[in-house]
Amino acid sequence: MNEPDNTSRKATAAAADHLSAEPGGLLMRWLDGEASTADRARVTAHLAACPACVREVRVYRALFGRLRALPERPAPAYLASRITAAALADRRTRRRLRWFEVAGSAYAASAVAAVIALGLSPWRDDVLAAVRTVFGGAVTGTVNALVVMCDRLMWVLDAAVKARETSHQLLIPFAPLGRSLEVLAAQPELRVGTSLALVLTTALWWWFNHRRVRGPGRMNDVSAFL
Amino acid sequence: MSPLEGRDQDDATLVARCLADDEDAFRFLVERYQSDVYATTLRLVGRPEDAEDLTQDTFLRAFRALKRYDPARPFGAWLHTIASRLCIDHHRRNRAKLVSLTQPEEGTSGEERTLDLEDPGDTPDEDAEKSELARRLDALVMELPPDSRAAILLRHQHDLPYEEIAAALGAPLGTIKARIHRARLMLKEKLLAQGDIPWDVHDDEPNDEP
Repeated sequence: MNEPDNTSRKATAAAADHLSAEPGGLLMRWLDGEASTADRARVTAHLAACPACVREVRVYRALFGRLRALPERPAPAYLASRITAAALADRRTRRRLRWFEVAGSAYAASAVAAVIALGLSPWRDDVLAAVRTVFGGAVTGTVNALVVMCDRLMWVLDAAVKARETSHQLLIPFAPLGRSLEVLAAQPELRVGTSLALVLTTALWWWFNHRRVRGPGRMNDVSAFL
Repeated sequence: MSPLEGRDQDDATLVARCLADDEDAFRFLVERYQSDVYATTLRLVGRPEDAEDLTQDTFLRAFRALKRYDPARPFGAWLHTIASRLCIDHHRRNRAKLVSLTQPEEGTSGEERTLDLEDPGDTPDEDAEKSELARRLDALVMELPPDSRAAILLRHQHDLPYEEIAAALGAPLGTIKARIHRARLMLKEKLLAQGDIPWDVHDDEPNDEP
C-alpha cells in the first residue's frame, strides 16, 4: 500500500526528480502558496506527469485538514470564572498603580514648576535668605548635636575607666592564672606552642561549622546561582 | 444593562467595550475563547494544571496589551500567538530547572505526553473511526518538540503566515519554516507508516486544487 505501483514508477522516470527532492523546499513553498509564478508552472507540469507526487500532495493536504480538525480538549468548568476574576482583579491593581504614577508625576511636575517660578519671581532674594537661614539653623543644630554626642562618649569612657578599676578588685582571685600566663610569656617555646594550639583549635572549629553537607536539600541553593 | 446583553457581539465590538472598561465584555471574551486557548496550551505543555495557569496568563496579558491589538486581525489567532509564546517560555524555564536540579532524564517529557491522550468524549457511531484517526494524529503531534508543535499548530490550526509565527515565537523566520517543514514531513511519514493515510487517498480535504 505504501509503495507507488508500477505505472507510477514509469511516470516517475519520465518526470525526473520528485518535487520533494527539489532544492529550496519547493514542494513546501508550493503547498503554502508561496511559490513564484514560474515555479508554480513547473510544479503543475510535474504533477501532470508524476502520479507519485500527486499522491504526496494529496497526503499533505489530508494531513493539513486533519491538523485543523484535531480533537477538542474540554476546559474545566471553573476556568472561565477564574480567569475573569483574575483579569478584573489585575485590571484594578493596574489602575491603582496608574493612579500612583499620575500622582507621582503631578507632584514632580509641580515641584519643578515651583522652583522655576521662584527663580523668576521678584521675591527670589527674600526666599533665598529664608532658605539660607533655615539651612544655617540646620547646620548649627547638627554641630550642637555632635558636641553633645562627644560629651556623652566621654561619659561612657569615664565609666569604662571606673569599671576597669572595679574589675581589678574582682580579678584578685584569678591572680594565679595571670602569673601562669606571665610564666608562659617569659619562655619563647611555650609562647609559640600556645599560639599554635590556639590557631589550630580555631581552624578546626571553623571547618566544623562550614564543612559542606551533601544531600538533596542543598541542590535548591545551587540552582539559584545557575 | 442586563447581564447577558452583548454576549453574541463580534470580537471587535467586545474588544472596544473592554477598552471602554466594560466588565461584561471581558467575561464574554473569556467565555468565548478559553476552551480554545486551553486546548492549545494543554497540547503544548501537557499538564492540565500548567495549561490552566497558562490560559489565565494568556488572557491577563492579552487584556493588558489590548490597546496594541489590531482589530483587523482575528482575535482568536492573536490570543493563540500569546499562548504559544507563553508555553514555549514555560518549557524553557522548566528545562533550565530540570537541568540544574536533577539529571536530565530522557523520560521526563514522555510522562507529560502520555498524560492526556485518552479522550473521554467518544462518539459510538461511524464518527468513531474518524475521531480515532484524529486522536492518533494528536498523539503524533505530542511527540514533536514543543517549539515545532507550537509552530505547526499556529500554522495549520490558525492559518497564521510564517512571519507572524516567527514574531510570535521569537525565532528567526528561516528557523520557523524549517521547523514546520520538518514537522510536516515527520507527521506525514508516521501517518503513512501507521496506515492512517492510505497512499491512494482521495478527497480527505475538499480544496484539492493543484
